[in-house]
Amino acid sequence: MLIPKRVKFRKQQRGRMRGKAKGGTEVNFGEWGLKALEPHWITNRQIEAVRIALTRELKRNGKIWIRIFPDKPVTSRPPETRMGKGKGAPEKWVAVVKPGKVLVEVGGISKDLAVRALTLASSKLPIKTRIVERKVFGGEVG
Amino acid sequence: MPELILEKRVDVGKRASRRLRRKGKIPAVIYGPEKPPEAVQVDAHDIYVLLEKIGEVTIINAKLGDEVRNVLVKQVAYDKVSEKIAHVDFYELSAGKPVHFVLPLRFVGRSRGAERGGMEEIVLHELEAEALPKDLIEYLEVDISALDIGHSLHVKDLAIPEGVKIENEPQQTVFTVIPPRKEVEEIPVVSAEAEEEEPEVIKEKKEEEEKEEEE
Repeated sequence: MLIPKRVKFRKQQRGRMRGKAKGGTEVNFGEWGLKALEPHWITNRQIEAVRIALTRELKRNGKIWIRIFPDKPVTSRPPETRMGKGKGAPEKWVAVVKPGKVLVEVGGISKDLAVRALTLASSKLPIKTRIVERKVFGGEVG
Repeated sequence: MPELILEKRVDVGKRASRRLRRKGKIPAVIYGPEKPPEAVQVDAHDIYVLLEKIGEVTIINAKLGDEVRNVLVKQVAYDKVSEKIAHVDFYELSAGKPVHFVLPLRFVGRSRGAERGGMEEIVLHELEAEALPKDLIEYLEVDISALDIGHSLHVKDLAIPEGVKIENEPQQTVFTVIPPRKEVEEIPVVSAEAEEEEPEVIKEKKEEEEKEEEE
């Protein structure tokens, strides 16, 4: 599962997820991708589930690109503990995803197979997504 | 040559552009090497239909008032979430002035390697190029039928027509045939209880130095 190799700090504040994705909003490596339509934290387990679903469906064909990385530690308190006594222990790693972000890309396969695989992959995610195609007139703007 | 009707745009800015989009128009701009940029607008339906038909290097007859101009669609800005067109840049061609453009690659045939079980991988979908308007080409056909497993095609191997200057590095890989995977990749199943190792925490140098000094 994806986790950072080295971090500067063990724990982070939660932050907000306002607005749309700042970059990574177009299909750049493969030919089809899965675009997030809602903001959410995507855990490394969910990313792994997506990768497994795609690998199984594509079998030995095609290539997969994972465009997000879980670099944010999320802490939680042990059950039945009273408030206070400091912040909980790091529990999981998440990627902060905002609407418009391309989460995964696939390439080197037929459109039918890509759509089938990405539909399966999208069911592993906690958000609404859309299957998007590489654009002819590309280039991210604004 | 495809045609498009442009209209002059007087109100510029965020609010006016939003109003325009609500009315079914798309704000656009037209510029070239010899003329200052002009704010224009185009019918949304017309531009969606046009973009389905044309490529990055298709010359369009754009009618702006009584004038007819030869333009390229230089850039299309899409909304990140809805994927609707937000803005279009048109580039007016001027004879004798070189144009910087994106040259799409079309891969023809099936590689020998793919027939033997290899996997074809397109590394570069398009090239950065420069040419005079008379030398513009809509796409570059790349024959991949001779490629075997493990072989790659680089920018320097492509047959570039005269008058077109490619700006990519000659050593850059365009296409490759990857050897087949011998076995279906085993997918390790991580049990829910399996604990992950925590990443190493980068300590600040100062602390270490201080400790050393204390010692």
